[in-house]
Amino acid sequence: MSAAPLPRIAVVGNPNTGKSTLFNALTGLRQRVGNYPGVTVARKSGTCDLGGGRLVELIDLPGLYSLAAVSPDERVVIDVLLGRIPGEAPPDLVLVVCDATNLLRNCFLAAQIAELGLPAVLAVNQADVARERGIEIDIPLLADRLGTAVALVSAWKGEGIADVRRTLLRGLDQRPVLRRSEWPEAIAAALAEVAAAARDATGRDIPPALAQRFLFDSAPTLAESAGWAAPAREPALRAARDRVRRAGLNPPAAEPLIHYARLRRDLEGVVRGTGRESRSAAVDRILLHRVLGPVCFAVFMLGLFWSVFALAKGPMEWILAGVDGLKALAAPSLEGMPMAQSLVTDGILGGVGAFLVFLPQIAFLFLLVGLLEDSGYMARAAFIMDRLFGWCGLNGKSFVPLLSGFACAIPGILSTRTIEDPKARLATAFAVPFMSCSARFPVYALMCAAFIGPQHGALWESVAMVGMHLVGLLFAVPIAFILTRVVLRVRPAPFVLELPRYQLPKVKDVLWRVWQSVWEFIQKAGTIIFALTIVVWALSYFPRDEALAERARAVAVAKGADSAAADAAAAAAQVENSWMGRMGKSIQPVFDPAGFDWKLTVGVLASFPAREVIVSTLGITYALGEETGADSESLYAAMREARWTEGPRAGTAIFTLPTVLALMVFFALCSQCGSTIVTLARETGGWKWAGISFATMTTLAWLAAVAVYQVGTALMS
Amino acid sequence: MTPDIVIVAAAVGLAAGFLGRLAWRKLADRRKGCAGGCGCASKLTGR
Repeated sequence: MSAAPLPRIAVVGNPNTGKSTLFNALTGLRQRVGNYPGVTVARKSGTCDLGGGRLVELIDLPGLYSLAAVSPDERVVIDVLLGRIPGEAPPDLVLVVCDATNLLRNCFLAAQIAELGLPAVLAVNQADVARERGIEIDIPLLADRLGTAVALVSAWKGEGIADVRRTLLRGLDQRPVLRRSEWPEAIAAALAEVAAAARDATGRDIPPALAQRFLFDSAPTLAESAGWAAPAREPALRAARDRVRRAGLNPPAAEPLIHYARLRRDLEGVVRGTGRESRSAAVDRILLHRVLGPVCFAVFMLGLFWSVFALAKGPMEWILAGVDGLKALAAPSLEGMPMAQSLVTDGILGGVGAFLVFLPQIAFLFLLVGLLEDSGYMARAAFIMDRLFGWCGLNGKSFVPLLSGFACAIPGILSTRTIEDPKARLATAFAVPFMSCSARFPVYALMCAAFIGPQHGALWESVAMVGMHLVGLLFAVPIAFILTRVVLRVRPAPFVLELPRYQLPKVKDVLWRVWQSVWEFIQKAGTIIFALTIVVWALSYFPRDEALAERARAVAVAKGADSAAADAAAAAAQVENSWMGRMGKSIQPVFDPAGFDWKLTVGVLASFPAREVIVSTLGITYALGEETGADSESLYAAMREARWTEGPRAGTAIFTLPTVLALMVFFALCSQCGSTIVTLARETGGWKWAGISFATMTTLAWLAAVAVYQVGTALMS
Repeated sequence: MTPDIVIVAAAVGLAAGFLGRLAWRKLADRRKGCAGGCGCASKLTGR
């Protein structure tokens, strides 16, 4: 026999009200994360004990300002509240979370929820911030005016959580419904007309709240899902809206006008103290300044990367030493089996080790970004960047996907679903893969560790890192400009960005996110990278031609090389003769103008499914080809010592500063991620735009790499 | 056959098999209409 289902409580509220913090405080770790059917809107639910073993299921809904559902997130909220999600009844209670420092605006959503007729209670959150700003809220009076139970809480500080539990219990027992606004006669009549017309068209009664959405929203997307299609509904809606206009009201403006008028009356005497200027606002006068803001942003980013390098240096050396220790341990035990020995030391340990060595940098990068994010600064960074995006014609909502793109393009492309205009959505999805994702980081880090750091110091390493993160942006801006203004002709859309207050980061939360990214990196090293290193090793090891190796050794000895150098020459001849070597050499002419030799070409080719593969590929090709010993530092040394063996550059170093920069620029711009291309194809409904994106990015990457190499070489000669 | 080549052949075969299975699963998930990003396509990679 299955247990009776738990009472369900939906948690709704404006974005940045601390809704999710309250949800976490109430549910602890008893959470489940999934997706709503058919959309990629996350469904987060958890069990909460309201006291005395009385369990309820809490559902954390996406943050929204109004029920005028436009984006998929907002549609999900109204579908959940109306019980229109297949297999889910409407919630037994709604918990509306409001921000104590902005109660009037937050209560607008509460007023709309009142129209749904669902039992609802209020949690007035961020009580600590309100107190700090000198704002006082009379909770009993507010409860009386709204006609429901209200709790004052500071979820971030953990104050008042017990009060919320008690309020939820009262809500479930008494099922209070929030007081509704009174509609003027013309609107009430128009709503009745809409409800009747919708019933006639669909054969079903529609809830009054839906009738309001049909009447008030200029693009009533909910009507489509209710089965009331566009051409059929237009005459009825036009007639109803005309009736509202004749009464001297503008339909889209009528709803906020009426709700706000009532709420202002209700909140009279409830909120005391207008609020001092917060410390956040004072800090923002500098950090969001038109000139100082971007300067501070650049300084923070430079400091961030410099700190990543400085902090990660020690742990990276420990990992290098660990990998070397493993190589020293493995090599003698596989004596007598040269093939297996090479597979383990050059292939697996060389390849996976070269990749794993960047783990500390990834960890510190996520730690520092996490601290900045939690402190509230990242929202300011988004605001600064939004000016740039706005200039290049991107939708205001584009900044979230583009910002996500700096971590990974896939969630970035998926989050373009919040953009209503399909053209703006397409332009944003097209621009996202240009953002420098975290998979590019190991590539930049390898070049910095091998060349820029040792030759120019940590400051220039940081400059190179910031520069590479800007390169993608530098190309994305004009491309987006052309796409939005010329090709697609996107209409600009309004955009609301709420800046959270500055706060001390919650170290536990940040460390949890760091652990997640570190674990993902380790899993990737242990699965895909591990398997790929074996395949790349095999392709670089076979076929063996001992006669060819002997000839190379003899030539080296004849030229006066010692035995180690002769062994290296023989090993290099074997790698050049391998399948990977042959492939690299046949394609190398394409990349020759960018200064890439055949080994770099192999690395570039192996990286098309996933760009970070170049690190392990170079680890293997250099380990196999140089025989310079077992230590990992030798990868950097071997790369620094690599020379052109033929052509006009014979005898000169392969990795000059222009080559290193050309390679980094190539990886910053090239479309080298199978998952991103597939996601782009899915999200744009076909392969056309994915193909255009791949061709554009790869061509641009090649052109930019060639330009960097050629101009750099000309300047240095 | 020497044990050397057997070890190497087994390792390469397993690695190629793993990558093939991964690609196949991703393809199957896409066919089923998974939008990606939710983790269902990638128990193997952790992505």
